[in-house]
Amino acid sequence: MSKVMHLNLRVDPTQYIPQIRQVPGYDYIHLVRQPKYMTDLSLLNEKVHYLDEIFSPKEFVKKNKISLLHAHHGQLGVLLLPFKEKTNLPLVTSIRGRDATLANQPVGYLDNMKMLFANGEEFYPVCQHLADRMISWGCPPEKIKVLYGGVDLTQYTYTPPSLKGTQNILSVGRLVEKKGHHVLMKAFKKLQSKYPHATLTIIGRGELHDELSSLATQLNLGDSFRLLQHLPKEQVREQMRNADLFCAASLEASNGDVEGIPNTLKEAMALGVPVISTNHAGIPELITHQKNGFLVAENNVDELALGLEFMLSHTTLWEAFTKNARKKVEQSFDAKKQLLLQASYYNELLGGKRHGKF
Amino acid sequence: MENFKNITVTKGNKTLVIDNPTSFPLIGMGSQGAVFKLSDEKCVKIYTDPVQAKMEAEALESGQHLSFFPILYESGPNYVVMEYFNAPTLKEYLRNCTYIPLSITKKLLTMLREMTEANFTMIDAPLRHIFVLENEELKVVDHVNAFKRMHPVPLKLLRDLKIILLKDSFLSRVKQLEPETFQAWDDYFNQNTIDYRNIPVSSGDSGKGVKVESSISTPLIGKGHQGAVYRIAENRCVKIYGKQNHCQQEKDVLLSNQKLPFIPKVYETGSNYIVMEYLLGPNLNQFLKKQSHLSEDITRRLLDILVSMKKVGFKQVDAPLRHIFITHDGFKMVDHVYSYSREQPDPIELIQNLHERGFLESFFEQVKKLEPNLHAEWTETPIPLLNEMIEEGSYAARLKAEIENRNTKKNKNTARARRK
Repeated sequence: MSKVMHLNLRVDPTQYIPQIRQVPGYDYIHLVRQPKYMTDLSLLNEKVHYLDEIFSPKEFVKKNKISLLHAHHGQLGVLLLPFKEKTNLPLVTSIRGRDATLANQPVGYLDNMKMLFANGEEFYPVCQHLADRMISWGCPPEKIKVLYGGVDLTQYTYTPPSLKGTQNILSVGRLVEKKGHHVLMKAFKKLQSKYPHATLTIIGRGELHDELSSLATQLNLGDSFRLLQHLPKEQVREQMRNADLFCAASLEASNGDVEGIPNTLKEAMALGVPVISTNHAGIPELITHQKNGFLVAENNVDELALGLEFMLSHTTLWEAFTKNARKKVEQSFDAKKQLLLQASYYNELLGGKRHGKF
Repeated sequence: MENFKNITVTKGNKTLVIDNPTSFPLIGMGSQGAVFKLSDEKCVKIYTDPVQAKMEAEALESGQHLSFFPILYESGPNYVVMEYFNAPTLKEYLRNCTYIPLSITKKLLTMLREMTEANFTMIDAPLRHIFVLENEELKVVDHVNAFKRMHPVPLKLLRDLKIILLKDSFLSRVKQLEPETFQAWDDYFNQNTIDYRNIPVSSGDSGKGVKVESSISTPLIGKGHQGAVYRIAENRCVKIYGKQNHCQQEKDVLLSNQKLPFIPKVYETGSNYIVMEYLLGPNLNQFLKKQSHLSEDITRRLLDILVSMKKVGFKQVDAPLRHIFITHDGFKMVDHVYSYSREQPDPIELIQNLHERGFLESFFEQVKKLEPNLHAEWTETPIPLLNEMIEEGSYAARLKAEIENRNTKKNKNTARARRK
């Protein structure tokens, strides 16, 4: 079996563990930059290694029989370039969002990305939107293969909308500007006169916690609004199942930071929860307006309020929308299929060099 | 008019003692002196040792023609007035960078070349001494050792770049831009690797760490009071001791306990070195910094170590978090010099460390459940906490005093119990 050395940010359950450890037909080395980035004991095994502790890259590669390097962020691909130079191994890089922007980037970032585009073998952006951005930075299109992130459909099973007459809206995502929580809260406020019993729940933690709490007070949202700190994944799933409408109000942050395609949207769609979101980044690749969900312009309170109102007043559309949504996720965002696709990208790249069976 | 000459800087026990009756703010302090800002253009460095002030003044004077040198305005018996830079250091400038920019590499190479041309012996600068002005012009401060220390290759610069993961990309650029410089450095590294059977570490003065020859190119992993540790292979490191008796003490402990799972494997020993297993993974202090709670698994593993220490007759039963490494093969602990000689039945440092991480309460709760006898023992005579703010030097002294104090109390308690 061929072995891929993956470099990601942390050894941590939220950090692409299946894309590293469960690629069919491929063994792995799970590399992080330094020992301090190993933060979860349950994920520690003999395959975890530390980039800055590798004594001799050549010997390491030989001893571990590594045939491919996979960096799970743009900046990590750049970091691996000297390792690639010393070991002469092919390097592929996943591009996930901010790494295709100049938001809060260190000195020389764009030049470094251009160097990575020139020297790296392949790039796997998580949506076509990011692929287009990379092409505009000079990445050769033939090196780009879109690889959507997938949802575990055995855990996220479909239940048709219950139409119980409630209007409980849910949003899940880090409390950072690009998630657009502030826009959603303002849009929700506009809804309240028509839907006095509607509720809004936001689950997440992040730098904007205090700001969003004061916004809730300022808007006088009272008991209709809940801001829940980060919850375990199973509990988030339960919250999703019980919601009437799921919203991701994603937008381009003032520093230029963008999304790929929010995973929470795919999860809600897999579960059968009606969704509303924005025409931002890769989201239109997942949601087709008025077919499997509702799309509005990003960073626009009035449009989002109208969209929410449309969805809440057209419950008869929900079943058809959610069925289409489930189908879309099954087609293009099924974790199992996406891991097979990732393996087939590796196969194509390694070609004759690959040993073992698939 | 204020006069910076009224400021005095003298050597204290551990750090410098500063008496500053002026309003000039302190902007930096090192082992040799302290720097005060005089104006937007000028600062003064005041030395404890006039010899060093003279060395710095001479070096600055001789390098005034160099573009990266600060302007020298004035010097006196214990001070140097020079140009002040309100700019980020190179370390700050490169924050989060994952490949060193070409422009910076070129400027660093120019700087090193000019140092060589000016006949410096110290062709080197740590990142914190390099400032990056707005137009990306580099300025370098602290030239006191410019003609004293021998660094024909930039060891400090490379060591600092390694810490921020930019050494490899820097060397890759150097190889492209100046292949002959790269070759010269490479030759130097190959010639100056450590020959641990022929040892250059000497014992420092009492209370200080060991002295380490800075021209050694073998990666130094750490140094402490008793020795320095170098990485010599993918899975091996060597600890070199200043004193042979320390080496012998640690050797005794390690060799007679190789079967214990937390004791690192030993491959080779000499009269003042031990070659042992290199432990891959974060230390427990690093790890716990990133945790929101203390898992029972960790407590269980710590107790396993302490219990087996007692069982095999260690006199010092403690597990400081920084000495424990989380490897895929379980928790491993380093530094056993005093395990057989220092009488310390309770894990005072571990308790202190867990308190500092905010996990002491959960630790005790879990110990109560997992090892009720140990819990009773530790809480009967409560293990006191030391003030977190105590600086390192006196912390060790307090710790030692505390251990002695506690041992006396324990002995008294045992005697009392016997009388009863």
